Amino acid sequence: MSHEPVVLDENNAGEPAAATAPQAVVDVRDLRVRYGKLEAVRGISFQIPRGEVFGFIGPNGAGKSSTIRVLATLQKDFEGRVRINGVDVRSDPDKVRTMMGYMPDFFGVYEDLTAREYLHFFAAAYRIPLARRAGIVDDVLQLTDLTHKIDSQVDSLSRGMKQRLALARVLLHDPDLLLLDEPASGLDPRARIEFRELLKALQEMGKTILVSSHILHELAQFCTRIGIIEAGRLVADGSLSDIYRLLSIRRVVHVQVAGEMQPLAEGLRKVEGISQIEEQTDRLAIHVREEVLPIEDLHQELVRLGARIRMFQPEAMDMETAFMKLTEGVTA
Amino acid sequence: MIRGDRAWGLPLLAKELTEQAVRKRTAVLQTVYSALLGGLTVLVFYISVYRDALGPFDILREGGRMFDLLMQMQLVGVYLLLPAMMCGVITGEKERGTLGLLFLTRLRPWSVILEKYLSRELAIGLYLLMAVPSMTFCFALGGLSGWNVAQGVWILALTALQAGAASIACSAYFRTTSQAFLATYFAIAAIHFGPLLFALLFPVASTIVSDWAVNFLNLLWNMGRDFGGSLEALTGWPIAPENDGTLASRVVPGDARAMMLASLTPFVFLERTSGLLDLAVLSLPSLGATFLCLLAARVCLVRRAFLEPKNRLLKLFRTLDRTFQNLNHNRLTRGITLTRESVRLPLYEPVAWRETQRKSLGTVRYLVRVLLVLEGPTLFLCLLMIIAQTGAGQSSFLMMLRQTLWAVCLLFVAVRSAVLIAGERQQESLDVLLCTPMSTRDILLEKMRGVRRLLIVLAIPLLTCVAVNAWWRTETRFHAGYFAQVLDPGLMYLFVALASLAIQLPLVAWIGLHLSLRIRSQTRAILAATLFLTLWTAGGLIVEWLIHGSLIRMAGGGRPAPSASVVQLVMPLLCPPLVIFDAETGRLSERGPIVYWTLCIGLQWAFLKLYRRYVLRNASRWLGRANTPPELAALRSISRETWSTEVPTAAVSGAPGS
Repeated sequence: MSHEPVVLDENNAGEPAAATAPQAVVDVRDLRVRYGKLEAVRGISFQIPRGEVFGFIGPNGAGKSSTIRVLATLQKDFEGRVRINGVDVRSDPDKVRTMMGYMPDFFGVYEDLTAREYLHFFAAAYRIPLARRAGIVDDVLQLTDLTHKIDSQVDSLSRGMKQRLALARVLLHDPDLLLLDEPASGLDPRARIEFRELLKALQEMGKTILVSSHILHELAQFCTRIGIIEAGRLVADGSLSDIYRLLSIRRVVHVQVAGEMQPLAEGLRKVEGISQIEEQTDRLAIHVREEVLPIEDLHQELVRLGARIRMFQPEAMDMETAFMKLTEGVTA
Repeated sequence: MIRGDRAWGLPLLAKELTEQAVRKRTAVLQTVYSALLGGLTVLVFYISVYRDALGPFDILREGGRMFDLLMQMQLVGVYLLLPAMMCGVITGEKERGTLGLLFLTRLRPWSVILEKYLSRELAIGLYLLMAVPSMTFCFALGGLSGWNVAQGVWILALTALQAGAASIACSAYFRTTSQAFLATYFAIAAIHFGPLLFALLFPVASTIVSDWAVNFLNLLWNMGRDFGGSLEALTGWPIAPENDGTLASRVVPGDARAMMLASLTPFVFLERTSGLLDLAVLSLPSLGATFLCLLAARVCLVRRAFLEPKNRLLKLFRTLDRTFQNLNHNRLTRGITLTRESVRLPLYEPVAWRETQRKSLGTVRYLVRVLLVLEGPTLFLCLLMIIAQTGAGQSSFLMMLRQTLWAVCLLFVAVRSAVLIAGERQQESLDVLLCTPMSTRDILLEKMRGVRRLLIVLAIPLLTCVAVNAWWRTETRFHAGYFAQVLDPGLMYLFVALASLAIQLPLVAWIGLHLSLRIRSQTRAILAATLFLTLWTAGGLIVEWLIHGSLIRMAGGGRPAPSASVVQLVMPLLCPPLVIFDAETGRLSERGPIVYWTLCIGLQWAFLKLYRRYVLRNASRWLGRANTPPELAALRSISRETWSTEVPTAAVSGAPGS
């Protein structure tokens, strides 16, 4: 498989148009991160326009966290250009820190404080004016449904609550961009659903969100764009429908017919839009170029060739299939 | 499965050796050790043999002296390296949660212990082998017999086996590597000095035990002599010594009890043996102690495999808390409260707030308790000594008290500051903190606020000791009729001790913070800080003793050579703890006049300031955090008053709080 990124958004293909740059909250160009001899990120580029939820997908060790750490100003040594709201991460990280909120893949909470103290601690760290702090803390607690736990010790909270408290902390200074690294890892199904709903609410508030996850179908439910990263390279970047469309071009249709398959296969090879036919023990796996030959037309062609069809099954396309198709399971 | 199809081999040993072999630090340590050993060999040869020689024949037969010195260095190396290498072998598995997995395999507990033990013993064996070229050189010089070399190697081997066994016993007993590391040194000290303490405390019992032990060893020796005599006649090997008499009477004439007491320490008496039989019999107590330690490790391995973390410090504080509260509830004080903990939320300096309001060792009430625990006994003992007026005894007792207090305080500060950043890293809150707009400098300075409080508390008992000592010195000098006005040792001592307090405690705190920034794990940071402090102090003393002593010897007649004076003047600058040592042992005047000490203190203060600046400047780099250029940061810096009223963050549209 080629390691060239499959860029599906016309606006982002190659060098982005100058007109789109100011709109992008996140602008990453040719990012490279090295840890000694290991090159964890190998020249990835992507943009996230304002208000989008960008799902960052990739196997362990693909370079997701490294990329997010660069955006979060926690990775000093990198190559390439990374901008948030037009501000270069390298030249003015302090300003960048006021524009983004970072939630690492662990809780990052102080167990010896209460929820109120924890949020006031970070409100002070983010230099939120004293007069507004109490109100903001109440608001974020309300948003994350933790008001009733305001005076509880952090170490007494459940994992889901700690995660929501971490999200409340991220929202304190009202950042434009939220960087969420594996936010749902380790949560039970209920906490996961609650967290997902919370992210949807933030999306509706117009926040730009970059979220990385392994749980693909969850991302599919609220991400407007997806970036698939493998071995430090971005192998796909675009909207979900774009990715599906891209992968559907090479869709495989499994067909079982009564009688001999050989003559049918010979007939199908002459049909335009069929790129390959695999004769398996009990079926034919037909690789179809969907833009030339839609699935419905393939069915018609089979009927025209006199096939008595027992099974006609286009391969299901979902995030997991897309992921498996686009990646090879290698790490940097 | 085929019956008896047991996999022969030592899988754990193989794994441990492979792991050690691929670690970069193994190669670095070995290189450094061999370079150090080679360098010291050359130095010892040059100072003690070569420079005094008038002709080539003068250097002959000097190998014995060199060999003795090298042996001493190797022993120091074993005691420094082996506990550090061995104490983590079991605790490491406990910390990683993999010890249980080992129990699920076919490996027996004895196998686990012995394979782990062997893995580190083989490694230390490699370090000892590095001395072979130096020993060969000594042998070539002459004055050293084959028997001397064999004795030396055997003593080193016994020491390594014993120190390793004590370390692995501690590793099996304790939960964390840092606890095991500290306990190992206590265990080794207990093996070496415990019997002596036992003899002092229980003279009758110790006499009975030692008599029994000596008789037993003599019996073994006599049996061995009879057997060895015939073996010697058969093989021609020198097994029994030529001169006659019992083992005790020959090796330690007239002090059988002392022999028994010290025979646990291999290097005390084994050097005096004159035959294979002596060596074998006198090695038995040491080997016995080694076996007992291994047995203890075996017993603890399974029983103490899964330990719950216990915050003993917190427990101690809670116990003290209860005690003080009970004491406070009496008719006189009626539960009076001098300081109340603030319940305010953080306002402007959140990190400092957490360090001073929410951390046990930063809050006023706990620090008051620490102060009472340290200051109470110190004050009591100082007053007792002043009242008792026991002269030399008073002086040495106070000296010991002060040195112990210094060591405790410095270690306390080093450990406290070593967990500042490593602790944040361990509880995974560092990244979150570094994402805030707080500058790295502000974070560190606020972090140090809690340490500063601790420094003040620790300085008080030290000040008490220093003040009493200075007063006592002035008094004794005055009575002795010395001129105390110009170069009064009391005043000089007071000046140097106070300056050391003001410089060295913060210096150790900044070193601890530096290590905390560089080292990822909290345990490692604590270990590194402790080790660094120990090596810095002990290393300085040893180096000065070796170089300076040799230079004076070389000059002859006890007169210091010019180069010895230079070493004497430079060493306190390279190793600041030497200043404390000099001050507390009353050797300030020996090293230099008050002008020298003023200059020395000034340079140390300058070093502290430069070092602090260096740490603050490079902290972001060590943390991997992107840093705003200083000029931009200065432009944007806003005062506390400003940011309490303005909104310096991004636009708040759509904010939950807007």
